[in-house]
Amino acid sequence: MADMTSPVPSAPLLDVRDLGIAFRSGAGMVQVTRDVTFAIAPGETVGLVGESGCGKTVTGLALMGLLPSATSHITGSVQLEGENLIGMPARQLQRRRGAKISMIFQEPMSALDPVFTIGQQISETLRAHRSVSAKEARERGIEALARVGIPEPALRFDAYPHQLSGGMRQRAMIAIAIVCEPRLLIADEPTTALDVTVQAQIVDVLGDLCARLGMAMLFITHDLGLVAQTCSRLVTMYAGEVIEQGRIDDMLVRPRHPYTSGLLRSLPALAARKTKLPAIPGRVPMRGEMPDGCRFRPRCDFALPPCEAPQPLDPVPPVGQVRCCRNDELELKGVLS
Amino acid sequence: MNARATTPIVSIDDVGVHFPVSRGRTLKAVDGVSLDVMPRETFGIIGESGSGKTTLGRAVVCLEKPSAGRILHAGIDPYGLSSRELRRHRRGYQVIFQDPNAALDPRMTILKSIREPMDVAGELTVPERHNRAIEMMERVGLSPDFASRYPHELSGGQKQRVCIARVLTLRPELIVCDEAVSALDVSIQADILNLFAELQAEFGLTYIFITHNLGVVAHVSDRIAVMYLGRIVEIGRAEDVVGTPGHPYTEALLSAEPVALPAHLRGQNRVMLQGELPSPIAPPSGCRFRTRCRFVQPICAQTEPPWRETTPGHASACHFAGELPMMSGAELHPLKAGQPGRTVETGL
Amino acid sequence: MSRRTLKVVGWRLLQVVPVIVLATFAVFGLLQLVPGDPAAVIAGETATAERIAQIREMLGLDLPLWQQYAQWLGGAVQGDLSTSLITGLPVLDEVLRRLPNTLLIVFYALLLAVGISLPLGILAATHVDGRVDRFVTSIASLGITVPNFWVGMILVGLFALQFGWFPTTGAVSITEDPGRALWHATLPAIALASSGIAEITRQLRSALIEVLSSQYVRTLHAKGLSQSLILWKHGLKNVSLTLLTVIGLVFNRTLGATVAIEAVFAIPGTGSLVVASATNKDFPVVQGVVFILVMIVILCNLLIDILYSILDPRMNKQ
Repeated sequence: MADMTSPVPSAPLLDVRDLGIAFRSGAGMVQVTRDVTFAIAPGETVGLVGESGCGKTVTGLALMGLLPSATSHITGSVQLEGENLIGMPARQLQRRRGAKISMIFQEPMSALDPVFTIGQQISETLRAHRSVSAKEARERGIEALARVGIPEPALRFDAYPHQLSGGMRQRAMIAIAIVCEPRLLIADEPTTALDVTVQAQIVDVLGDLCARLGMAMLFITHDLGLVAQTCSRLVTMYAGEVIEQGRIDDMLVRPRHPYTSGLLRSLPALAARKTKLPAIPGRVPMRGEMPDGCRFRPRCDFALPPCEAPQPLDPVPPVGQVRCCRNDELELKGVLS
Repeated sequence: MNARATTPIVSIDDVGVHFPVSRGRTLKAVDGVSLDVMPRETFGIIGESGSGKTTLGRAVVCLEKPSAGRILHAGIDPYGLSSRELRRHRRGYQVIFQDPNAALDPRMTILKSIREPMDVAGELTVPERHNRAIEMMERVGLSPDFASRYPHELSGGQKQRVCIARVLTLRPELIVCDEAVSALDVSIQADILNLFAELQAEFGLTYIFITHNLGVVAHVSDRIAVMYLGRIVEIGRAEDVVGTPGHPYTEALLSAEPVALPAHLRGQNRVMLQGELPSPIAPPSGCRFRTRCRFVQPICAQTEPPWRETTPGHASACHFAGELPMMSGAELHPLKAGQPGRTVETGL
Repeated sequence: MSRRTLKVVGWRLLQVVPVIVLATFAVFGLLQLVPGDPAAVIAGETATAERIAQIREMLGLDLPLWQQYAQWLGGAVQGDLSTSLITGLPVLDEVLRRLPNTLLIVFYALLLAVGISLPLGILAATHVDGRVDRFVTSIASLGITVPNFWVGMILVGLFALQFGWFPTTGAVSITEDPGRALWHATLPAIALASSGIAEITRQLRSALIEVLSSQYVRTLHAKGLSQSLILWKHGLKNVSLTLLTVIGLVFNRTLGATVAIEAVFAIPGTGSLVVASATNKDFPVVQGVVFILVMIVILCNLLIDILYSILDPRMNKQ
């Protein structure tokens, strides 16, 4: 998977531009993300990384059109195969969800309806988007369960979610999401609730599916190791903004943004044993208390007066982008230095 | 390790913790576990859900009474003490959990929460308790401004600092950290791990670090025990366990741990565990890992594997420890085993 | 029904046995609660010592307690609930004669309650905080605070006395003339249903709101299911458990409320029978009515438990 490092071609599968999300909160609106811009090529796997509260899950939900319209305001555009999903009538959007663009979530137990069987939950997805008979839906559902590595899929088809282990539930969740063979799968922390050895299995299944179905994936996680293992490109978010993106192998070795560098260096697995870990001082600013200019400035070791101005996303050849005016002069440390 | 320290601070001898489940069956959450933790050591316990690591940790601090075997605290059997003595004794053996919210009363100010254990102990005067609480807050990096705030006003990392301060007020000798940094973001996690290290140097603490995160446990621990289905399957110095795993389960754990390295530096071979965790109520006969082991032999089902020491102080409960063509730590976890930045490319 | 469900049903039936035994203790114990010598109380202030002794012997009060209980239980099992002290007729006959009138208004009320609160609750839950929701929730809070008998009196005043659409009092046997029986039962049933409507609406609303904002409903949206499919298929099946529980509670309460409602509408049901017998110190009748009603409540709860295990696959674990 990590070999598919082709630059984003001229016609991306998903093109997100200046995505801004605001939530209604009491009297006013609180801006949660702004200027989120990135693209995903067909079949590409992209990691979306950031600490809690940086807006990555909300971004995923916005791409799916799953944010409640009554309490959220979305600006910018999200083009999926050339169609803008923002502002698309609900019925049309509904036809694309589950068929062209799917999503899986962190908690496989609470994400499945407890009173319907796995099979019923797969079949209804199929029948919502394809005209298939009940018998056909069953066959294709069992096939999907087999494809995600569930043993005895015909038996599991009639099982209820509570009868499966956490790992099996997440596989079932994936089977539901891919049964219509979508072009893009958004995976929101799909393995965070699972054990490491089960996580390895699930990540393996996801990679295999992407390769076999030619499906693209947006992998939302806080775990840089997982991104390194599953994705060819990395998008880093901080405080509601995309602050850096590029090829994963480039970014791991030579990050351009002090925040990305800080994240990589604070990983205990990569530091010499028993040494002091380079932590990032301070904490993520609260929504509604965002600093002017570069939002990372108060925590940054390299902040200078120019950082007080708003930072544009500068190109980093060949395919990267970074939101830091000092990116040319800084020699930031990555995982190898 | 410290040469002076001859008596282990915690000595676990053939300990079992059993829970009755339905229809007269028993869940042996911990079954026949023995290990010694030396003073000022950081001892890591790693395992996945169902391994019994949390139950073992609870047993160490007398939150769970062993159903079999014995746990000694610096040579003393806590259950041989009178209930009054036991209460006093337990103050020296503390635990910090993953979820700081569960440990903090939402209606209590931070200062009160930190003071509470001392108030319960009731040994110091009120001004002394107050001063010590403030002192500990500062020590864990919380400004005194936080004293009058409530838990909901704090971030996850700050709340975990409060829990640490709270525990420190009792001047414990040993702290069991049960997934204490698992819920935190990496940058905060690094901060808290640094804090743990500083406190250890300053107060001469002993830690038992329980986690599923291999990166964390390998970074902080002097020695590591790997648990699977209620038993320890491998024990040894951290660098030995991570560098040359002796048990196939440890190999699988190491292999499953995602490493943030570019593709050309990551080991290309991976060991993927097959199947699911067997029920801990009816564990497999012989070696409990045999149902998922890639090296399984007929003997594994028949007899329980004895401990085999591969290098001094590094032992595995595997019939074939030291003889199996397992991947080395360098292949599985390149940076950790080798020197950072000088990793040999392994390839296939 | 799967084999597992059958097993669960069998298990539930077994579990009901001790409940029934406990209930018989309680019902039998009723008589022991009468202050002083029950026989003397029953006989009245002016009774002679012989009369009191006679009553004591007739009721078996001279026997040890466990024998009294055994005698009473033995009779109850064979359908003999002793005889009325006033009329001398078998208690069971009297109860069975009046029970249909009570059950008619209770089930009529339950049907009304469910039929009205279902659409109200769904409407409110799908328009949370909107004008519809606020209207429904305020109606519901009103229904809970206003007592049934008061609603009954208003109804009588308005629809019976003022407009003359319904009869003021009395009942007609459902077997004799179903149409007229329902006509007579309508006002009492509405009065009985008023608090049930409020209770079910409120509970349904909050349960449905919780389900519709759950993570699995988010998954259903992510799969591209339509709003209506999500509401009618997944929403309703998931709240059906809550709904069942509430209906069970409302049934129990409605049965209790018949005492007041039957008094307001002068319906010859079990409620009015219990009141009349208590005033006349006809304890065997009180005991008999309470026994039958308690058995009905236990059976109803059993039925709900069984429905529960059919509807909720997670219940099949044990």
